[in-house]
Amino acid sequence: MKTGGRLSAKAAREPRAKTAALPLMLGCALLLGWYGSWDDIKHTAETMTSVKAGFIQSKHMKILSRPLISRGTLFFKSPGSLRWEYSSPVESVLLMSGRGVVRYVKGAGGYAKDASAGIQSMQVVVQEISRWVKGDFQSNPNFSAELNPGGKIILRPKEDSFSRIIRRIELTLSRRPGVIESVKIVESEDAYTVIRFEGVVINGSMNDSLFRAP
Amino acid sequence: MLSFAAALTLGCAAMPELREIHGPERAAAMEQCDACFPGRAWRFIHSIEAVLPGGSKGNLIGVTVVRPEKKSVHCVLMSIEGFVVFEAVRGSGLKVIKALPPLDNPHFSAGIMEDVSLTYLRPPAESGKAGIGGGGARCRYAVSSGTVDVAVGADGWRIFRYDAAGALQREVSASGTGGGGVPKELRIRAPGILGYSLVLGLIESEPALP
Repeated sequence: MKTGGRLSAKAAREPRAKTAALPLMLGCALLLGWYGSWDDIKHTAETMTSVKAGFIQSKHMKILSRPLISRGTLFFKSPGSLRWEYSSPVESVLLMSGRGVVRYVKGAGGYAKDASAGIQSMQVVVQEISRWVKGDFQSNPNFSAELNPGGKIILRPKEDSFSRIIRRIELTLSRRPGVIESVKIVESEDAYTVIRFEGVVINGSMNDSLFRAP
Repeated sequence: MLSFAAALTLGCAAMPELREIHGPERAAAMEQCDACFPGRAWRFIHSIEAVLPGGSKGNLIGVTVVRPEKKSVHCVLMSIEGFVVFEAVRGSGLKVIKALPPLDNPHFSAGIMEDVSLTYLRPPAESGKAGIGGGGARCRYAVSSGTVDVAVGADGWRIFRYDAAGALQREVSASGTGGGGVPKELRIRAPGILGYSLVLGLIESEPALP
């Protein structure tokens, strides 16, 4: 009985110790968020099967008196389907699947496939976005990634030729696990784009037809 | 085949004869033509649909700042997603600030800035005459590369640029009216076998700082 009593006492002490440690761990987790390390981010993102988010894009340039605002919606479905859709000022849809990126632009006769010069730059960014949604910031051969306190990630081109197009990309992660709050794409000190996400829905049902040509 | 024939025909379109008018009628006509061009610094943002030789279509967003008093145009072309692919200023000379492939061809830079200048900068008034030609009233200006005609109609205006031999090189047509009398749509057409067309839809416009 004594021994048993000692064991019981020990057994009784251990859960208390664990209970005391729990708020500390939670506190640390809240302090660090879900973005304390690359592994934390990746593990959180692994639970995501789909993402839908509205976005407001503001383009800043010296030639403009105020930012040019574009609005749209992002759809992502694991493992690699992405739809980047603008509702204004120009209605268009970028689709990414395993076969690359295709853009459709709405004109008088409905949506038509587009072959403009900007597509290559956007192809890079769209591929990046699909990596980010999966919590993968480090595997891109074109960018080096740096994780800063407060969930700020900075991506810098590894090659000079690429930095002619994009100097750096700054991502701010939301406190909500798995969610990116905003993306800033810096082309030069005078020209940059800020994309803010809103109304993010994670793991909602998503029809495959969204990822087919409109 | 039909479009090829049409392109050839357009390429050979000739400058019409002008039966000149004088006095108050001329002054009124010249005033109407002047009103087709911004009288002060102005900023335009357009969606641009380009149909290139071969028929492929591309879409961009264009920002243009016109400063008539300096005879300069500043133009930025960006993708719908906001990536700047081309930026240049044309004043006393042409300065290309950024040109990403495939828009890094000097002929493209010169051509696009000439199109923008033709659309927004009024030719020198002292070289102008007015008259009837090509089925309606038009103003005619002598410029260094040939001749520029401006025709004002009930539904908009048209600008024609002819080379020294009188062959049509460019045609700009404007229709609809947005805020401040700015056309809602502009169509720029370069006729011929290597011709192209641009359709510019007005997104916004406002006065700019001189």
